[in-house]
Amino acid sequence: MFETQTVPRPAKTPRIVFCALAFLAGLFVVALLSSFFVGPSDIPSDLRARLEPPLFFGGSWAHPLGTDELGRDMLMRLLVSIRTSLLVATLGTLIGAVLGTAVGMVAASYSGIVDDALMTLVDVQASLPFIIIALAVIAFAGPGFWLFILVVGLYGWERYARIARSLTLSAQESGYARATAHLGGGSFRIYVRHILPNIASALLVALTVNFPETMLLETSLSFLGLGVQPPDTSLGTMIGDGRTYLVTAWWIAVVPGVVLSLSALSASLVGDWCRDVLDPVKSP
Amino acid sequence: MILFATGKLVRAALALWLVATLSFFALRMAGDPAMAFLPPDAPAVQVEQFKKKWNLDQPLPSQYAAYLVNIAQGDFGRSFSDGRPASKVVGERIPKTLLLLGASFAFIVVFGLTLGSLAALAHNTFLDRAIMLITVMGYSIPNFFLGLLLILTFAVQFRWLPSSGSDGWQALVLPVITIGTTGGAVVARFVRAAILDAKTGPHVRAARSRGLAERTVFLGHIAPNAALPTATVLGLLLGGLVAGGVVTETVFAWPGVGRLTVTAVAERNLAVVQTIVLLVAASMITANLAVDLLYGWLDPRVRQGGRR
Repeated sequence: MFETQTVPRPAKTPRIVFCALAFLAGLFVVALLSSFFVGPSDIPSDLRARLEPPLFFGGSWAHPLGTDELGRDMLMRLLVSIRTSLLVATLGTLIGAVLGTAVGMVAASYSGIVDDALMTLVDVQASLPFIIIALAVIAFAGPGFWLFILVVGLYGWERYARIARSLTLSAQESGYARATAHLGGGSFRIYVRHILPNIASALLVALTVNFPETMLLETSLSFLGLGVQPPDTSLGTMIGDGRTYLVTAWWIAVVPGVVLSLSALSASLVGDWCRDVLDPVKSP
Repeated sequence: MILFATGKLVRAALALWLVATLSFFALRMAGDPAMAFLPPDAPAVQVEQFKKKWNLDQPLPSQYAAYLVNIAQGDFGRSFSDGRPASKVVGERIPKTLLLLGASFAFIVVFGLTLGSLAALAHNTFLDRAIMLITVMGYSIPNFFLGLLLILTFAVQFRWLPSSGSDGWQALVLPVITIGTTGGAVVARFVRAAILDAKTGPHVRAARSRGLAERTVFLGHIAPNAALPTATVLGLLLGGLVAGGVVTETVFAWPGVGRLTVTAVAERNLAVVQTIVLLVAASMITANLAVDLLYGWLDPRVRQGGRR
């Protein structure tokens, strides 16, 4: 038999990726639009309509997704929660990416002791489950919303740092970086204007992989009651509330849970696809 | 080899010291534990007493020095809530957690290897795609939600398995599935990729051209080459296992370290939280050290080359 060449992946985007992208885009649009007319504190609670089931399970059009233990409309709470979870996940992902990339590039540009110190920190972080650290910090610093975003944002910084460091190490030896240096470009110019755009695609892949994980971290912590605090609500808080009513009112936990799982699934599918398209080095 | 091992050992010790130091300062910086633990309207005398009792009235550097000395002597401080040694409070929870995490690890290995090899053997067929879709779902569904769904189905609806507690093997089933699904999905995807990768090697074509049976080719020539990267991934999963344990133990009211973490954090029990952080760090760092040393022993290239 002749040598069979492995066929390169077809350039056509799989249909399921389109569905995933559409779902995510829809989620973001819904979250943005809903912020114009509903806030966390203006969901009325109607104690006479407590624990009403969703539409096709014996409920009515008045509350298509049912109501919770205080008679609040589940659909409205869901909109607010989607917005919170997306906000935390987006900001958190960006914080981690910026911080990690900066650390990685600094480590690469100063070799020697700075590099060693930063990379030891990276190794330590990589060897610890992040949720333990996050739990410790959050509990002792109190339940502030912006602090929570910052803590969630720290998640995954060490991965960006590793990627940025190794790519910068090879990029700074390349012709264009040396040429800029010879022409008198300062180090800020070399690293931010020239090297960063060249290593951005690998970092972008890491970012798409990180997004769903950040979302899961936020919802896990909120589920445990240690993340987003009432009256604000996130998908995790809702699921945590629903846990108490699992036997009598399953929809309180299941509705936000399904939305959360679908978002994470879509984000993973999009992330996988991004990696196939953007990352020249195929990683499993 | 001795040089390599010493280097790794020093690094591990350094990492452990770093974690101890960071956790000390992070927890102290994050807020005054007296303020966090006592009610906000506690009288000043009570605050003073509390601080004196737990040595919180000393300057930070001397607190830090005392802390390091105590740790070296195996004294991790006392639980704020009941005054028992923190090492004891945490220690009595360890067996249950080891049982749960051990069973989950076994589940991950079996589930991941089976699905991953099936998908690779049926590459590009319907079965392959179905398994891949299942695994993507497996690692997308948050484990706390999966746990609730399992409770809803098997404990509430069918009443087959208990929804909480830790008595008997039945209580182990749902938590193990909850923790293991994410890891199993990751392993399955990785095993599939590793087998597909090993399949393309020239030694496989050589084996086939010698007329070996497909079964022999797989077991004798593909599987061993896919095994090494798989072992690495299994090592990397330990962190995820611990993290999954924290959430899952809470969902199923499993009396282990994970649930203790959440309750200790909720009641701001400084010494217990710190002991858990150190325990987790020490086990993870030791595990990584073992993997590193094993690799150095197995593969001479690792010994000579520096950092990854």
